[in-house]
Amino acid sequence: MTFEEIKSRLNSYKEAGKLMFTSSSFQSHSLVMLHIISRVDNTIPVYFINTGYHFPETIQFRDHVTEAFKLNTIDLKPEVPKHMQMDSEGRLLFTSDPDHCCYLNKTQPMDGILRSFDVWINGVRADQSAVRAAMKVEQPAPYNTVRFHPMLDWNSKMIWQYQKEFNLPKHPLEEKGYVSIGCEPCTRRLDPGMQEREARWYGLKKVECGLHTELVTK
Amino acid sequence: MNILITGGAGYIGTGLVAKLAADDAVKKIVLYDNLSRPNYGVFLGGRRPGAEKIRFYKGELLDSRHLKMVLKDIDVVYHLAAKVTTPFANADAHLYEQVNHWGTAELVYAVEESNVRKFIYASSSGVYGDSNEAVDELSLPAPKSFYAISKLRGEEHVKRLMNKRDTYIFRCGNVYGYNRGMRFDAVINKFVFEANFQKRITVHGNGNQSRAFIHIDSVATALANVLKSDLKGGVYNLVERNIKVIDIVDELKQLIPDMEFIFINQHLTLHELNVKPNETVNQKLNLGELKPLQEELREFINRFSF
Repeated sequence: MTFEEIKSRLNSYKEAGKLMFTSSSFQSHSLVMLHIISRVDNTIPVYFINTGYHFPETIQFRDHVTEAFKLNTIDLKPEVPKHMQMDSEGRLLFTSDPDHCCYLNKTQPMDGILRSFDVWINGVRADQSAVRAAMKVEQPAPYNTVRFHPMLDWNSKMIWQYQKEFNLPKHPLEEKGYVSIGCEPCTRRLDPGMQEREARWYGLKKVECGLHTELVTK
Repeated sequence: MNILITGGAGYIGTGLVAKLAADDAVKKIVLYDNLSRPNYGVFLGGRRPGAEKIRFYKGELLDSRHLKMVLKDIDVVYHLAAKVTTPFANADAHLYEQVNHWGTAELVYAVEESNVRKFIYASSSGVYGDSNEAVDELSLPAPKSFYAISKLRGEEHVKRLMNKRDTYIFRCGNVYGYNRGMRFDAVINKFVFEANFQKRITVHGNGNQSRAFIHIDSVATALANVLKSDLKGGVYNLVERNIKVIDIVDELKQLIPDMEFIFINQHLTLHELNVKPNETVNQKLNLGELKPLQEELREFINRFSF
C-alpha cells in the first residue's frame, strides 16, 4: 500500500467511527509505519508492549521516537508481576517456557487492549515469516475487531528507501550487530553465518510471540 | 521527606536507617525487604530515636504491583536490595540476573510512574573487574563475576532515570565493620570474627590480593548525606582505601597476638582490584578523617560480647 492508500483507509475507518490503535516494538523498521501514522493522525494511540525485559536502549529509543514523531505512545505492562512468573526451579519463565513468558508479558496485555478498540493497525510484513505471509491486509481478530496490515506488501528495500527519504532514526543496538530486537533474554546478536530469524529465540522452533498467532481469527 | 529503602533490612540498610531516622527532615522511612538472607538485626536493639517514622514491608523486588503501592508517597528511593554471595559470586548466573538486573529494571519502571525525585543505587566496585592500577570513574567496567555483571546491567537501567530524576550510582567497595545487620561472609568481618573467637583465620589464595574497602558507617553516612549535599547526580566510586588481604591479617595479629592464620589454597593468586578513592565525593558526602585500620578493628572487636 502506498502512503495515500494507507491514509485513505485510516480516514475511512475514522469516518465510520471506528476506534483505532496501533502497537509497535520500536525497532528501526517499525518506524516506517509509525511515521506514516504520525503524518496522518498522531493522536492514534501507539501501544508499546513493555514486557519488562527490554534493553534499556529500546526504552530510550522509544522515548526519543515518541518525541520526534509527536506520538501518543502508551506503555502497556503485564498484569502478572514477575515474581509470579517463575517456573518450578524458581527461574523466570524465559529460561524454560518462552511461550508462557510471551503470553503473560505480550499477548495477555494486548488482549485486554483489543477489547476496547475496533481496528488494530499492525505493521506485519509478508516477507518476515510464513505466518505473516499468509495474512491479509484486513483480517478479522477476536472481539469483533479488525487487524489492518498496511505494511503487508512492503519489503526490506521499500522500508530502506522510506527510512532514507525521511531520515528516520535507527535503534542504537543496530550498529552493534543486532538485526531483530525484542526482549533481551530471547534476543541474540548474530554471529557470522547466522540467519536473521535466529536473532530471536535462537535454538527454538518458536518464531512468533503469539500476537500474530493468537490474536487473530483464522 | 518520605524514603523507601529496598533491602532496608540488609547490612547497609541497617546502618542507613539509623542515620535517616535521626534526621528531622525525614518524615517516613519504608524498609522494603524480602528477608532472604535472613537478617533481623534492623528490628532489634530496643526503640531507636525516630522509631515512629519507620515501617517495614516484606516484599519482592520483582513484585511490580507491591512496588507501585509502596512508592505512592515516596520522594527518595535507596536501592540496596541485591543478591550477593561472598566470596564466590559465580554459582548460578540466572539468580543474580533475576534480582540484580531484572529486579532493578522493575524498580526503575515503577519509579518512572511515581513522584520519586531522587534515586540512589548502591552498585559495586566489582563492575571494574580486575585491576592492579587504581581505577577511577573513567575506567571502563569489565566485570568478571556473575554478581558484578548483574550489578552493571542493573546500572544500565538506573541510568535511564538520569535525565528524569536526581540519580546517583555509587560503586561501593567491600563493606566492613560492625552493625546489627552485619554479614560475616565478607573478608574483614569474617577475619575479625575468626580472630576473636577461633584464634585462627582462614585465608583464600596467597593473601597478596588487594581489594577496595569502605567502612559500614562511612557508606551509611555517605548515602544519608546525599540528601543534603550539593553533589550532582552521576556515577561515583565510594571507596576509602585499598588493602591487601595479608595486611588485614597483620593488623589483626597485632591486636590478637596469639592468633594464627591458615592458607587453604596458597597456590592461587586471586584477582586484585584497586579503586581510587574519590576525595571530592568523600568530602562532599562528609566522610571525615579516615581512621587507622587497626583502630577500626579494635573498635569492632570491642563490640563482641566476649
